[in-house]
Amino acid sequence: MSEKYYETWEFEAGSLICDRCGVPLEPGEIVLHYMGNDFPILMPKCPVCGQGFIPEELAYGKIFQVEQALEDK
Amino acid sequence: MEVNQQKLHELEQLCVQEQPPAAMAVCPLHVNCRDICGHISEGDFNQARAVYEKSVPFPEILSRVCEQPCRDACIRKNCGDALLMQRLERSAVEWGSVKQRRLFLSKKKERTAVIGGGITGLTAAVELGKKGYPVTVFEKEAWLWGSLRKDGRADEAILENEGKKLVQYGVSIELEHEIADPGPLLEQFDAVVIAWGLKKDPLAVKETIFQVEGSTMFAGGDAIRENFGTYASAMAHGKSLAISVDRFLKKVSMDAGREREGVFETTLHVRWDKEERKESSVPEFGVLSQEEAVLEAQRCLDCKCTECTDACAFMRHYKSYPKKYLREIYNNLSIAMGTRHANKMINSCALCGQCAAVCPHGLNLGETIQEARRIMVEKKKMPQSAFEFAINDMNYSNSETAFLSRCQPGKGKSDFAFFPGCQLAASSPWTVRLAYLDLMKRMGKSVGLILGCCGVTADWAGEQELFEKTKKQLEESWKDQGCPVLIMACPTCYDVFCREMPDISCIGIWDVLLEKGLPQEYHKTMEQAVIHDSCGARSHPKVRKAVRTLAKNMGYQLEEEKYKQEQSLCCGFGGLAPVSNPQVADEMTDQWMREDEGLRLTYCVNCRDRLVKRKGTAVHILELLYDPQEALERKAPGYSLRRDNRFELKRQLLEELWNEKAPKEDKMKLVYSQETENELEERKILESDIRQVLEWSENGHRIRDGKSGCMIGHRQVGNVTFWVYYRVREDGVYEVERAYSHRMAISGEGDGKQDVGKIL
Repeated sequence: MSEKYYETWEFEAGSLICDRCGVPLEPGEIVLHYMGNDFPILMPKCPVCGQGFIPEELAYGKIFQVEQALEDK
Repeated sequence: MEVNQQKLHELEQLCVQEQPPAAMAVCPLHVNCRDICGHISEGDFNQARAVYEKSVPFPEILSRVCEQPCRDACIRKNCGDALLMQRLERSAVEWGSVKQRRLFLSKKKERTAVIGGGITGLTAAVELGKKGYPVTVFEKEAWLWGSLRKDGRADEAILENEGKKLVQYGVSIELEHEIADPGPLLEQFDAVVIAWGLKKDPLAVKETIFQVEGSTMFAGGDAIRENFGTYASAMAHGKSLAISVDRFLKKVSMDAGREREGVFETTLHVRWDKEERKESSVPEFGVLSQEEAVLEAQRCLDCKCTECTDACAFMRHYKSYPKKYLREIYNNLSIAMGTRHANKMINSCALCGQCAAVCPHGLNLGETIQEARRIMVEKKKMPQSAFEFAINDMNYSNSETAFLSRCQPGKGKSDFAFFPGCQLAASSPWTVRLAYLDLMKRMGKSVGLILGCCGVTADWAGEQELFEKTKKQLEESWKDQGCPVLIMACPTCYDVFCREMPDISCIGIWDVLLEKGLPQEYHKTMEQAVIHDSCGARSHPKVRKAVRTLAKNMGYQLEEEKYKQEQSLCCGFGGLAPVSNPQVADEMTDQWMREDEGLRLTYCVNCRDRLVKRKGTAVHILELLYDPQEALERKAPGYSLRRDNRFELKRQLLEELWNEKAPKEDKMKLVYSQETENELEERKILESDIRQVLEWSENGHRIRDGKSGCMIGHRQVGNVTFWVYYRVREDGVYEVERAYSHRMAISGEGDGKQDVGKIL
């Protein structure tokens, strides 16, 4: 995993297409925010309009864990 | 009520879980009979002996001669013979062995003397030796152990063997050295213990601490008695004397924390009335064989108070008991920095009050938990995700979309107003409609209608401000209608109004139906049912009685549940447990289902829906009256349908009764499989959330997934970001494949950026 990012996600190039721009999503920076904390992550992202994607396993995995941990602080 | 330390201590006192068994409390040495029986019943004689030796300095002796004062207190005697503790202890000593630990004795300078080499004196000597004091025992005879030697049950070899402990702890013995006057010894020794046995004039000592007032002398055993004491108490005195001497020489408090050193009465509550009677079946004499000992020990009732943990699934879920929970709650509230580990526990209780009803001392853990939730909200430490979904649902009930307050059509003022409660409207809107029509027809007076939530959701979530706001909204509606008497259909609403809005007069619809008789259309569909009391009716015996009478009038034979009336257990809906901890909520429902058999008759629709959701059979009494077919057949509605039902009920009633046409919503049509429906329910994703995502996604923000062929849309709705995989059918219907969510907000999406700005 890149040192700069909290999380990355392996995906098959070309498997996700931005419908508006008609281009495949590429790994790009998305920032997640919760309770005053920022978490830059490397996720599939449209190189043209910037629209990103977060997979289910991340939402109910790491993201959920961090949300819970921050809420209990 | 503020959860402060003093209050905490008071509450902790009410939980008797940590109190010793009655037999242990009356044992002068407080031998842990429960643990000894526990170990022996599992065949572990080593552990049993270890427990015994912890309290008894000379186990070989006492296990032979103990008078068993415990037998009079043993709870088993209520349903069989009291446990034969002396013989069990004897078998623990006989069959068990304890590894001798290496001794590391601290050496103290202060010199101590013990007058009398009987059981009290030698116990005091060995205990002082253990504490590192040099001890000298003065015995007038040429032998030790006094009356024990004559007793004969502990023979010479045993006494000699136990006597080795004195050597081990460096105790000096001076035999044939009578001390009639301890005066001269006081010069040579820093403290003197008098244990010379029974004399004509017993010595006067200060109770508990055994000190001869104003001196360096301490006396115990028969020396302070007029008659012979028991061996057990002689040994206990010996131990107490050593404690007193130690404290005296250390110049610390003589009596702090010693209230329970002697015999006392426990407050532990043990339920034995349902225990099977079991008499002792072991031979009357002789040492018990291991098998006999196991058999005898198995008769032990394992004295513990399990009233609340037996009754409540939440109590068991966190594997503890109220006293510990109270401490955890207090600690959780006191944390300034660090993780609040008890949040989840605090937010999982049903707040139903059952614990107080079953607790022998009335401890209401839910009350403390509710206060803790309030404090957490106040201090902004309540996890945002805990109750937000429920609060949103309540806000929906009381929003323009679903809330309704009207006088009866054509009337400017209401004598009565029907308040069915938000969940009855959400679950069974047609029952609400029929009941309202019936009330208007048969009350003979003007009956208004108020559709909305009583605010209990906010109360349960600790959201005091929102609760107050809700009460205000309801009070205003009530005043607008001319302060009518409210006719409630939900026992929880009834309870909330009684407690929180005492100016408003309330009656139950059950009272009205008892007075006016059953609706004309009613026909009987069943013969028997098991009545389940709602936790809302816990403090309202009249409600529970009225509902029973109504059910009987309807022609049903009622059976009672194991936990009935004010002890009724929670269906799993209370305290918002299904939102904050679905697993615990399911455990509550499952216990309710397990405890009794048969069709349950409820008078709270949440109870009905919870049981049906977990595949049990339950009917709601009003539904049985007004729509019996549906009452038996319909599934528990999901969160989305519950919202649609409230919306539709308001729309339909406005149109039908008040001739107000509300615009019908032109909603995107969604379809999904049963599996997806279950998943959406479990993930608390509403159709309205999905529609908002699709609207945004179809507006030029969708991603195509090459693998599944689905479109993927996402959007933040409120504090949650939802993701939806879907297909658009040719007929314009949206097929939802799956959906998921997270609370973290997204930024850095460039042009694709949405309304994230709002929360950043």
